[in-house]
Amino acid sequence: MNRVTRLILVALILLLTPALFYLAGRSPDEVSLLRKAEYTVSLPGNKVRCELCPHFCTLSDGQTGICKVRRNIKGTLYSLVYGQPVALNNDPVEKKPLFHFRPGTKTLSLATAGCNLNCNFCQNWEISQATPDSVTPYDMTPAQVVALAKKNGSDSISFTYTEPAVFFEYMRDIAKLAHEKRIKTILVSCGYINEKPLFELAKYIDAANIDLKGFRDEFYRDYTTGRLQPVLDTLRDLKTAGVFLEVTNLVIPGANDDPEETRKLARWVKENLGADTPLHFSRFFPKYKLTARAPTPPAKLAAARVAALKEGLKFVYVGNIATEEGEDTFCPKCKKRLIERDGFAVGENRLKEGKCPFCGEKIHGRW
Amino acid sequence: MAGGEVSGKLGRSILFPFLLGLLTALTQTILIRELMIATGAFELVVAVALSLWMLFTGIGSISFRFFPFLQRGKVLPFLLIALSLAAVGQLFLIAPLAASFSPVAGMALSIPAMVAVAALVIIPGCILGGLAFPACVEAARDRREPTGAVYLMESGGMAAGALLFYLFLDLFSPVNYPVYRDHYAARYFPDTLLFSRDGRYGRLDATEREGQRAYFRNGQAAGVAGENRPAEEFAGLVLTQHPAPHRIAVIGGLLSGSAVALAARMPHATITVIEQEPMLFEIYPTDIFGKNVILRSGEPVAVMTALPPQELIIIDLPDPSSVMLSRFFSREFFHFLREHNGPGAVIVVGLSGGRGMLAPETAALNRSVQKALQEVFREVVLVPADHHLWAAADNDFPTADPAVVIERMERNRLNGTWFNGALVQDIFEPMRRQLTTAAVKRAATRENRLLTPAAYFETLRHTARRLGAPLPAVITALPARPLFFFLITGAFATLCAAGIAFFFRRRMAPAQSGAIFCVSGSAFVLQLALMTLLQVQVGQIYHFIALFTVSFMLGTTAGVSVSRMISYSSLLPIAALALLATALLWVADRSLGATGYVALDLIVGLLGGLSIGNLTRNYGKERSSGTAFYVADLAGAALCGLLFGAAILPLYDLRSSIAAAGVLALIGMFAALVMPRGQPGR
Repeated sequence: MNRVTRLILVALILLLTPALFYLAGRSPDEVSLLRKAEYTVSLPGNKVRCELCPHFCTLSDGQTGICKVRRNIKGTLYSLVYGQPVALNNDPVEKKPLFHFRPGTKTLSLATAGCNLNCNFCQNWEISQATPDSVTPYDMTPAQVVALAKKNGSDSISFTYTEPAVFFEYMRDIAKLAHEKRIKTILVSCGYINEKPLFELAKYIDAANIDLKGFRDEFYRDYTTGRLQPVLDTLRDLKTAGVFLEVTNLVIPGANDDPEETRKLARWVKENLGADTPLHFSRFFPKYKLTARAPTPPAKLAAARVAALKEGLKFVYVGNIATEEGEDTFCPKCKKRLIERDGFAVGENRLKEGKCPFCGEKIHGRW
Repeated sequence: MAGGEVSGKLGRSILFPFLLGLLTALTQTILIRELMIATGAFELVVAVALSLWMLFTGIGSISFRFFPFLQRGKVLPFLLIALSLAAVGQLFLIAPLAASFSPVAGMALSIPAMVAVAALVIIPGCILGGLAFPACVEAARDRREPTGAVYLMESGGMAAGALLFYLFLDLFSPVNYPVYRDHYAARYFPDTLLFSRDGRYGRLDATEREGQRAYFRNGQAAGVAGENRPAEEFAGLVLTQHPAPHRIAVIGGLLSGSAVALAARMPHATITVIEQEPMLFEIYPTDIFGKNVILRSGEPVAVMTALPPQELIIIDLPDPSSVMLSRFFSREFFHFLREHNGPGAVIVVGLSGGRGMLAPETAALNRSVQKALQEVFREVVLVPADHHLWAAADNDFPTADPAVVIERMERNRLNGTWFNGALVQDIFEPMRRQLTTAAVKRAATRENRLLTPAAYFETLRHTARRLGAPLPAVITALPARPLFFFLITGAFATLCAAGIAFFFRRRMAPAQSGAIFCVSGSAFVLQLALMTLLQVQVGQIYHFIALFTVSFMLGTTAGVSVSRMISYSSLLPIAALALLATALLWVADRSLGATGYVALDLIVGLLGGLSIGNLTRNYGKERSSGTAFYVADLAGAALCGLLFGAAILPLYDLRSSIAAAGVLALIGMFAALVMPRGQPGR
């Protein structure tokens, strides 16, 4: 065997080895029901621009958006997760967290794979950063979801855990059907969605908890791959649309816990959403990629709560931590304790028709 | 003049290679530990760093011929000084390089970034080390069989370096030096680093901020002192799996806070907290415990054996990200617990969960442990909390009935601000229980056993996905196709041996280089297998790694020395390696004790040294012959170590890894017999 033949042989084996490995690991293609995505613009050359969220992904044929769940197939954008929830739970509404919206009720919570942000501290990264083919979904039509909520006695349906905007069409269809069946709907979101789809969605949403992750654009860029302004726009738009709103801020040590940043955030909430908008400061625990960062010191959370109250917000809570009064609702006028909470447990609720029984002050919320 | 010449030659041929080996062993051990911490404590980095190490050392060795000035003996001391400086400098490179791949302090790197950082950090030292070996051979040209002589001294140096590290860990631990510690502290921004200590099982750091003290194990958050919601939930749920436990043993749980939470809720029970790492009891404020809490450090099987039967045994350890941890989730360990503690005991095992949001890897991890528990216990119950709990027993105590849990919670006064009836109802919510159970049940995986660490494999898969490089379907499909894997990898290893023989045919007889490749590979894979056996059978590893290097290199040194004194066929020691692998297959499931494994490691080194020493005997004194030998040796160890040592073990089992080592030795015999044995280049 001469040298050239030997070289050809070596090259052939080297090329064939990975091919054989590929064949060995290939699983049969699964047929999935795809749903045409909305809010898209067709571009020349079979390209599509997705206008659902502020990323405005321009996708060539075969490409998938940042969210991992919207793909251009031959010039048409499809949602890969319509009818494919990967998480289904019947949660207490306090877990969302929503403290001023039908306390003590259960909410059927669901999510599909995917998210349009990539927060390095994500608490649900296993599903939010997953591609649809890497997780095992439950096949469920919107009607089946609503029926399941009815069967489980859920007071509402929550779109939560991952970013619901990425399964916009599925969420909208469920929400619409839920309203027809007199079931409330809740959006738990990072708020990274464009105005048009948001207003369409808002018609079918009763309450929302928006994660305002920080109050600096640099923070959003470095930790989430998103930007701040679109989230602020979403918060204002939801308020305009009449959706009941609560806001959550996960306090991450060294990232967004500067007292001045906290004060600015609280001030913005007061000026733009109203002083009676509930604000939750949540404790960070190391997860996903941010695993060399300590949990938020309890003192930091307490200080954030005090600062936000001083800025004039009426209802400020701390979460993900057991405290004496951080989860309780107090009357902003007479300062009496109105609702006691321990974790997910709602203790005594002293509200009378949404009013403080001691001074008659109307307490903001959907009770 | 004559005396000076003799001592100069002695220095060149003996001292320099010895120093090279010593520096290599020290640098490798220290750097790999630092890299592991900087990249997120992913054990894969050890395999990555070692392979890159060998790759770049090989490249350095091959490059030797492009630097004619290095062939002058006088350059060698400068090369070694440069290597020493690089070793220290490399340490300070890790943090800035890791930071350049991540915008955020303390963030785990993606796997591609991890490989890049490891490569960039390792390059200078490896290239210098790679250049130094043939330079040492060149400097020893006047000696008989210079390559063998240099290899002998380098092996001795490595043994000495590893022994020094083992004996004087504090001296060689960089965090003991304020200059490095200050540099290192930046990774814990915004916290202040209180202290940092290296111990038998890795590094423990403690930080403080705003009155909160946090602990980090190998650079990863492990828990906080004091109030801790997850620990309260864990303790509450665990304690409701037994109606009224009086004797409780917790394996782990100190840093996570569950030991504190358990002690606070059960002041009248005797609680034994078992931690492997003795240093934990020195750094943790153990004075917060009452008299009912007994603290024991040591190997859990040994500690448990000395204890009277316990009623509730809790395993609160991190997910099995290593073979050593995987053993505590294995069928054999569960069997030991049942036998020792009797039918009245309840075992509770904590694992990653997800509150109804299970990733496929997490489901498979849970499934592998569930299967192991079901093999041993009559009752196995899942508590689908944030952290999944598996309660198992040969009695009816374990329960997933929220009413029973709440009744036990109230009777034993376990409820607190977080752990209460609402939380219990949420955790045992019927739909969650049903969906989680179904997700775990349909996960395709094997039962976790000592020699088949399926839980370790699933944890690796989970970590790989977390770090942005999910294992491709081809890898996860391999366990179902063992024959295919062995055929392909066997062909690949043979091809590599042939490739090396072909590449260096002008400097070394193909029979020699091909056999060296296989023998190095076989010996290294056997060494890895023995290390793993030590982990799973005896349970200690970190402080034994250096000792393993010592015994292996001592064996190699002895083997090479013997090979220079007596004549024998190269086939004999290679055949003995194959036989040793076969024998190991038979005794793999029995513990030979730490001494037994270290002794076997020495024998593997001895057989490797006897083979390689003999194979390099007819080496001649051609220029760069050291390069060919060094590359064949390194490539064999790196490639086979990765394929058969690191990859097969989690994919298949330890026996496959040992069998592969035996097959490699047989391929080595085949190479020595069949490949051309003429003078190089002819």
